[in-house]
Formats: sequence, C-alpha cells, structure tokens
Amino acid sequence: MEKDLNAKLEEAGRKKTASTKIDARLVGNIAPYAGLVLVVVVFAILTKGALLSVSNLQGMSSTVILTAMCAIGAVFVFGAGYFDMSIGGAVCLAAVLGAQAMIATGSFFVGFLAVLAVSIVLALLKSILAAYVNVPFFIFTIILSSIFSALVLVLMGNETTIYLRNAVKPLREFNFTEMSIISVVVLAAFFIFCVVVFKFTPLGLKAKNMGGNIISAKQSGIDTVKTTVKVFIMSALGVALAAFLLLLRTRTASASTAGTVGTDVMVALVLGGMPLSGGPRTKISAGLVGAVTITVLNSGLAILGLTTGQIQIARGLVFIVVVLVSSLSYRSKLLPR
Amino acid sequence: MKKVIALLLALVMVFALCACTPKDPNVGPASNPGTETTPGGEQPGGEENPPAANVPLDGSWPEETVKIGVEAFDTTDESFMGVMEYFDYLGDYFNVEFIVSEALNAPEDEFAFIDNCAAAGCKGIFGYYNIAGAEAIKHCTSQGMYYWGNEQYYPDVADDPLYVGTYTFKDMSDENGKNGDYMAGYELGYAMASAGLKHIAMCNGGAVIGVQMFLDRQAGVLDGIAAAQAEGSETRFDPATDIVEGFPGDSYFAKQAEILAGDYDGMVTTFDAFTWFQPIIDSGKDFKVGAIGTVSDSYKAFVDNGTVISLVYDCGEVVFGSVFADLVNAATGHADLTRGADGKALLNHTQRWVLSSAEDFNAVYEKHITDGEYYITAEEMAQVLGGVNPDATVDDVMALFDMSLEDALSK
Amino acid sequence: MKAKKIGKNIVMTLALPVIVYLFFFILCNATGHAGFGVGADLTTIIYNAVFAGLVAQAMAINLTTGRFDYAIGAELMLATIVGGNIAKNLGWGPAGLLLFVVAIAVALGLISGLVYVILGLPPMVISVGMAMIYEAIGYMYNDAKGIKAIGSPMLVFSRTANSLILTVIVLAVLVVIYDYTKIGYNRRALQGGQKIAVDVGIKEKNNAVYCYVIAGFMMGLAGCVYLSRNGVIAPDTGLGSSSYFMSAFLPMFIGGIFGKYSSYPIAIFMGAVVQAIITSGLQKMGVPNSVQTVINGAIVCLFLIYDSNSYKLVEVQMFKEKLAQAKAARRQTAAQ
Repeated sequence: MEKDLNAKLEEAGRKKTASTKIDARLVGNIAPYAGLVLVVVVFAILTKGALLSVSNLQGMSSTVILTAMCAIGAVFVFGAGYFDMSIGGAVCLAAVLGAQAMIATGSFFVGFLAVLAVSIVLALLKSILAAYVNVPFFIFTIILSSIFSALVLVLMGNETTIYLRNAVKPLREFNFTEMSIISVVVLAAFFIFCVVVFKFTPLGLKAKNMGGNIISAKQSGIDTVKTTVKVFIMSALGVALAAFLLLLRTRTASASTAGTVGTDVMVALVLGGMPLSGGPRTKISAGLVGAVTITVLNSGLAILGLTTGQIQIARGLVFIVVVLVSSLSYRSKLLPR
Repeated sequence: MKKVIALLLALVMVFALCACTPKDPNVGPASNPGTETTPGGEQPGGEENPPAANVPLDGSWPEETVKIGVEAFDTTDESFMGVMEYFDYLGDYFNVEFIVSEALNAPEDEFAFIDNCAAAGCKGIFGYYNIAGAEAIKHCTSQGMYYWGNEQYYPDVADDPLYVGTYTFKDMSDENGKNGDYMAGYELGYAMASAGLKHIAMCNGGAVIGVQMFLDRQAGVLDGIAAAQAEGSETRFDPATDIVEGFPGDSYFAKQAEILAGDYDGMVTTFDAFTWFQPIIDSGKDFKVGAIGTVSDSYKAFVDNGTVISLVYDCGEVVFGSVFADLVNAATGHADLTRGADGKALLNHTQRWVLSSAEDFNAVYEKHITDGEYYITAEEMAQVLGGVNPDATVDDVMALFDMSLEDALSK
Repeated sequence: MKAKKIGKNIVMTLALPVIVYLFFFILCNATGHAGFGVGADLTTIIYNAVFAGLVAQAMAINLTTGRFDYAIGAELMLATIVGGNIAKNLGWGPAGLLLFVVAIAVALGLISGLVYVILGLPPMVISVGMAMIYEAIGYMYNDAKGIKAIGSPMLVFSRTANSLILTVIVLAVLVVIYDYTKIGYNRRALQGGQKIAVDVGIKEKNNAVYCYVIAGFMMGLAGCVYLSRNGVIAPDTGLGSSSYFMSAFLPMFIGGIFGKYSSYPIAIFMGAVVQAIITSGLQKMGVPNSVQTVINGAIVCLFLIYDSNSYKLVEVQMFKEKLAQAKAARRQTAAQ
C-alpha cells in the first residue's frame, strides 16, 4: 500500500517536472521571437510609426546585414563550443585588404575574392589553433582581434581611410534602394544556405555534439578537427559577405571598420536565444533574430532622440530582460560559466 | 523567482522607455523619405513658412520643429559639449531640436545614424565628426536631408544642392589653403615654438590610428614648428623621438613619463591636455602646454598659473554658429542663403582664436561661464535667418561668423 | 632540502622579471637608447605594474573559475567618478578618496555578483549587461563630466612608495585569502571541479559573490591609483570601459605559470611587472604603437598557449618516467 503510494507520488513528481520542462523549453524557444516582437511594437508605438517607415526599413536592412551575416556564420562556431570574439577584427582585416584589391584592380570581383581569401585564411588559422592548442578560446580571440586591428594599421601605413572612389577604374555606386535590395537578397540566401547546411548535412549535428561535450563527440566517432575547420569556414563565409557588402555600402574602409561587430555578434546570439557555450540548443535562427532585434533596438532608441546616457541604460535593461526571459528554461544546480 | 524578476524588470524597462520618450508631437516619418530630391532642395515645410517680419523669438518659430542630427566622436568631449550648450541656448528662442549620435566609431555606425535621423524626421545633419568622408555626405543628401560640415570633402560635394556649407579658416585668396584642422595645428605649433622654449614634445592623438582630423592637425603642428624655426626660433623638436603617439594608455603614459623626466620644457597636443596636468604637477617641473581645447573650468587653473600658454579655441558660437544658420535657413525654405555667388555651398569663413594670455582666456571665461552669455546672441542669429528677417543676405550670414578674438573682446 | 626548495621558489618567482629587465636593458643600450629602466622609466614601470597588477587580480579571481567579468572596467570607471567626486567635495583627502571609491566599487562588485547568482545566466552575458548599465550611470552622473581632480591633495596613490606599500598590503591580504581561508579553498575546489565541489557541499553562490566583491575591491584600488596618476577620468560609452582591463591578460597567464613557485597573487603581480617592462622597453626603442600591439598580443598568446598546455609537458614527463621505471623493472626481471 505504502509502496503504491510512493510509486504514485514519484510518478506524479515525474509528470510535474516533465510538464514544467516542456513549458520552460517552449518559453525558451518563443522568447527571442517574443522579444523581437516586443521591441518592434514598443518602438513602433513610441516613435509613432517612424520605426517602420519605408525608408527606415530600407536603412535597417542595410544596417542589419553586417551583424546578421557575422552572427549567422558564427552560430556554427559558437555552436561547436568556440567562443569567438575576433569576428570584428576579421571583418576589418578582410574589408581593408579587399578595398585595396578593388582599388588596385577596379574590380568588385577581384575585391570579393580577396575578401574571401583573407577570411578563409584567418578561419584556417583560428581553426588550427582551436583544434590543436588547448586554450581558453574566447580570451585568445579577444587578443587575436586586437592583433588583427593592429595589423590593419601596420598594413595601411600612412594611409588612413581607403576610399573606393580612388580605384583605377570607377566602381559602380549603388543607391539606397539598390543597396537594401542587395542586402535582403544576400542575407536571405545566406540564411537559407546555413539552415540547409546546419539541418540537412551532418555538420550541424556534429557541431552541436562538440559544443555539448567534446569528449563524447570524439568517442562517438566525430572527427573533431575536420568539424572545427568546417565550422570556421562557415563563419568565414559570413565574415566575407559582411565585409564585402559593407564595402559596397560605405565605399570606405579603415582601421575602425567593424569595431563593434565582436560584441554585437555576441549580443545578437544571446538575444537570439542561443547559449554562448554552444551545444544542442544551437540554432541558426538565433543569429538572424538576434541581429534584427539589436538593429531595431538601436534604430528605435536613436529615432527617439534620447541622450547617450538614456540610450545606454535602455539598451542594458532590454538586453538583460530579453536574455532573462529566453533563459527561463535553464535549470541547473550549478551556476553557469 | 526568476520569472518574477523577469516580469519586474520588463515592467521597469517599459516604464523607463516611456519616461524617456520626449513629449514631442512632431515625431513622425521624414517629410522627405524618398531617395530622389528636387534640385534646390526646397523642403515642403519651407513653403508653408512665408517670410514674416515680426517673428517672436520664443521657441515657436519655425512652426514645424526643425530637427538636426549631430554626428559626434566623443559626447564627453568638452569642446563638443560647449558647442551643444550654445545650441541648447538657441533652442530657447527657436523651435529647433538636436539629436546627438552616440560615439561614432566606424563607417557603418555613421551610416546607421544617418538612416535613423532620416526616420526621426531630421531636416539636416551636422557633421561635427565624419568617418566615411564624402560617402557619408552623399548618403545623407540622398535621403533628402541637408548636410553641414567637413571642409576636407567640400570639393566633392559643393555642388550638391542639399549640401549647405561648412566652415573654413583658410585665406580665401589662397588656392592651396589648408583646412581648419591643419590651421589649428599650425597656429599651435607656431605659437609653442615661438615661446622661447628649449625642447618640446607633441601628442598626436588619433593620427596613429589614421583619423584624418588628427593627421591634419599633426601636419599643421610640424609645419608650424618648422616655420617658427625658420624664423629663428631655437626650440628643438624632432618628430622621430618627440612624439607621444595615440591616446592615453600604457605606452602613452610611458612616453609621457620619459618626456617629463627628460630635458623637455613644453609640449603641444592635438587634443585636450587633461592627462598631463597631474603628472606635470607631480614632476615639479616648469613645463608649458599648448593644446586644442575649450574655455572651461578644467583649463582655468592651468592658464592662470601659466602652465597652458597657448590654447587654440574653437568658440562654439563663432566657429559652429553657421551650422545653425545654414541648416535652419535651408530647412525653412531659404536655401538661397546657403549658396555662394558661384552657386556652390557656402564656405563660411570663420576665425579660430588662439588664447595666448590668461587675460584673453579670462575674458572669454567671464562671458561664457560666469555670465552665461554668448558672443553671438539669439537676436543676432535671427537677423541672418531668412524666415525671421526677409532682408537677410548671404553676405550677412558670412559676416556674422567671421569674428576675430579682438572683435569679440571689444564687443 | 626545504631551504633549497624555498631558494628555488624565490629564484623562479623573480627570474622572469629579472631576465626580461636585463634583456631590454641590454637591448636598449646596444641600440643606443640609453636610460632604460632607471629613474623616470622605473617609476613608470612601477606605476604600470601596480595598476595592471590590481586589475589582473580582479579579473583572475573570477576568470580562473570560468567567469569572465566584462563589467570590471565599468566598475572602476563608475566608482572612481562617483567616489572621487564625493571625496573631492567633502575634502577628506586621500583617506576619503580611498574610502569612497573602494566602497562604491565593492558595492558595484556585490551588485554584479548578486545579479549573477540570482539570475543564473552566463557571466559573460550578465557582465556585458551590467557594464552597459554602469557606463550609462557614469555618463549621466555629473553631466558626463567624469571627474577632474587635478592638483588635489588626495591624489597620493600613484607615488612610487605609496603604490608599492599598497601592493604589498594587497598581496599579503590576497595570499591569506587565497591560501589560508575558506573562500580561497572553496574557490580552488570550484575551479578544479565545479560539480564535485558543489556535491560535497560547497556553497557555490556564496563563493561567487565573495569573488565578485573582492574583484570590486581591487578595481576600486586600481581606480584610486589611476586617478592619482592622471587626475582625470572621463565616462566611457559603448563598452569602451573594457580598455581598462585589456592589460590584465598577460599578468594573469604569467601568474598561472609561475604561481606554483610562490602564490598565485604574487605571481600575477610579477607578470604585471614583466608586462610593464616590455611596454617601457618597446616604447624606449621607438617601436610604433600598432607594432607594439602586435608584439604584445603575440607574447600574450604564447604565454596563454603555454599556460593552457603545460600540463601536457608534465604528462609527457610522467610518461617518460614511468617508461623508464618499467624498463628498469623489466631489465631487473630479465637479469634475475
């Protein structure tokens, strides 16, 4: 009798935990979207619709691309457990060398090849270090990022800002509308490509496994070195596209280019509902949703005409709230690290 | 627990945002959101404000708020804050608002800020700072907003009807005249090298990371020193060893200490000198400073005690007053007042003051800080605005801001 | 035997700073840049070492247990601006500066720690959010004017003698905390194995909050030293306050390598000395800023890689010894 009761109680307990778990998980999955909708609605009202005016949507589509491309690509790397803070530095280095190539040849195509080559070389470098050298990766990449920007300065010498209009042959200019169309098309294409690679090839599963537990990933037969190289290459594609589109839009490059991208990508991934430690909850949509959220947030705050201090506080609060909501499903006796 | 906190924080957030919202009925989409603009750049709003003789200066004119976006590099910089204080003062008399950017670091941030200003309904952008050069100006005007500023890029954009002007310090008769930042550096370098010092050093600020403004200032300082030396000054300066690179940081402080311990007796900086005063006091040396800065409490004590012997000062209302005149004129249908005789955007000739005595400094200090007054009052500003004074001419605009230190002090 | 070990420990603790110092001394003199490492140069080295050392202690106490605290730079900035202005207005002199800045920094550290353990989010994320908020407060306080205390008699903490006394006291306290208190033991247990430590009953949350408070304390001291040296601090925006802790990495990794010869905090300080010598040396030789960044970055990477992989060398060593033992044993059996 007593035994039965205990069994029943246990079963009830199990059911209860199971149901709250599902709830929490659901909340965790919906939260980033809810956060995005909340930010859009709140700012659309506060700015009396200015946020969603055609011109601002165009502007935001061109702005979001830099963070979004980098963040979508970064999902692979973060998902596999590599906390990469050097993405901004990589964009900068790629953009500057790409711009120099464009100016020397007057060709966007050659410029793009240069951007791509630089991004991939940097990705290979990082992946080799990530795969073979056991270091706390994110500290390593913080330092790497400062080295990249310093390298840019060394490379540029006395040149300060590179202007594409100084190219040997005039490079076509894209106007505001064209730029936003290009941005949306490229972003959509890259997003779909990444979703396909992540969901329908083994790479996504392998990366998630590595992020979850690298030892068990190795033991289950995943070639972690190969996977590491592949995830960094995916990230490099995002970096290359971002750097290239950035050049098309601003037609300039300097050592300060993409200076805030490193933290923006991190913030975007967090707002997109992805654990920065990677693992099974990794999802490509996090990069896109997070990047859109942060862009809308920044745009809304700027349109309101707030002072710098007010913008900072609002951004900090929104950040913590969205993160908190999207993390309601984390349950652990241990503190996260 | 976590859910409760999340909810509470979310509430705080919403309330905070609502509290932050400016109570302004005019927030709305840009009046000119398209990409194409009509030549001449007349804003629709401008036509509704026919020139009137008796416009009250109580903040009710122009009827529609003129919003102006401001590109800033460092919103905590004293010179910048001084300029914004003047615009705040004008805000009591005219219906003009300023939206200030956060610290802009990269070209993409600059573009995003310009887009946001367009969405916020700004009529124009004041380029106090500029990263992407003419590209940023084109990006601004292509969205139907006026742009003011950045002399370096003037030749590229002077014909753009939405580009309304910039300041210049150069002698207009000199074809190869240099821009304002170069001149600031030049005057400073010349003044310091002519002050009878033995050996001086220089801080080059953003030149080391390739910021154009600082490169120009550095080039100016070097030429200024050379010019003084050519005239017989015995002040020593060697660019190879006497430059403190970059902004305050580990290696900056290391070099600074070396200078203060060496045989140097002065230095010139292309930005503010605040990080030097304490080390100078600690070193116990008689060390002279020349800086680009502003008349403020921070400098007063060191001008009074003779540490700062030369301060190149951009008086907010004199150097940047034309921002207000040009942008407001353009936005209120008087774009003609922003075009020179050649049909190009205005080059507002203005004067940069070199304060080389405590007396000069304190005269300006008294006016600005003690009395809270300006050398160009709102009433005088009104006289060059076509919407207030129908008789205003381009020459009036040009004349108002061409004020030398002597003119100002005798005013 | 014991005396020999102590001797070896002292030698190993001091070896790197001395070697690096001699290296640059010789290099500078050989390349015709006289005056390295003496007089004003030495003063600068000491200042940079003390400042970077304090910041590195603050960062290390959390980072070694896997918590990267992005907000420590903002803590320094905010505490020094607010505390410094209070002390300046009250005119309480150096004691007032120390008291208010450190008290506020401790409070900020406490808030960071509490937010972390209550919300239970990854520290990197929480601390980025906290840094944004601290920066915003620092910006809004005093109309974005920061603190300007130039010439104030309270700025005494960067004088060589004072900063060295401060360092000795701090190191003594830290060594006690790390090596002789429950906080230190528990921290190390959590560092070694989080789950095991929690399972045996260590209160992780309490320990984390203590660590954040200690980090705040260190940043407060660092703020006093910084303000004393420079007289001004301007508010930062856009996570710019991270520049305050960028020089903390190298001391930390050097500390990780040499900690076994003395105590971790002492080794960190030695690392800060090494970094300061390198900075001064490169500066003396007129190496451009950007090249300095590349060189410094490369050095940090090398130490980081060594620090994180030195256990492999130990493993190889152990393997060799075991192999030798086995071979010897086999020979013995074969001989019998």
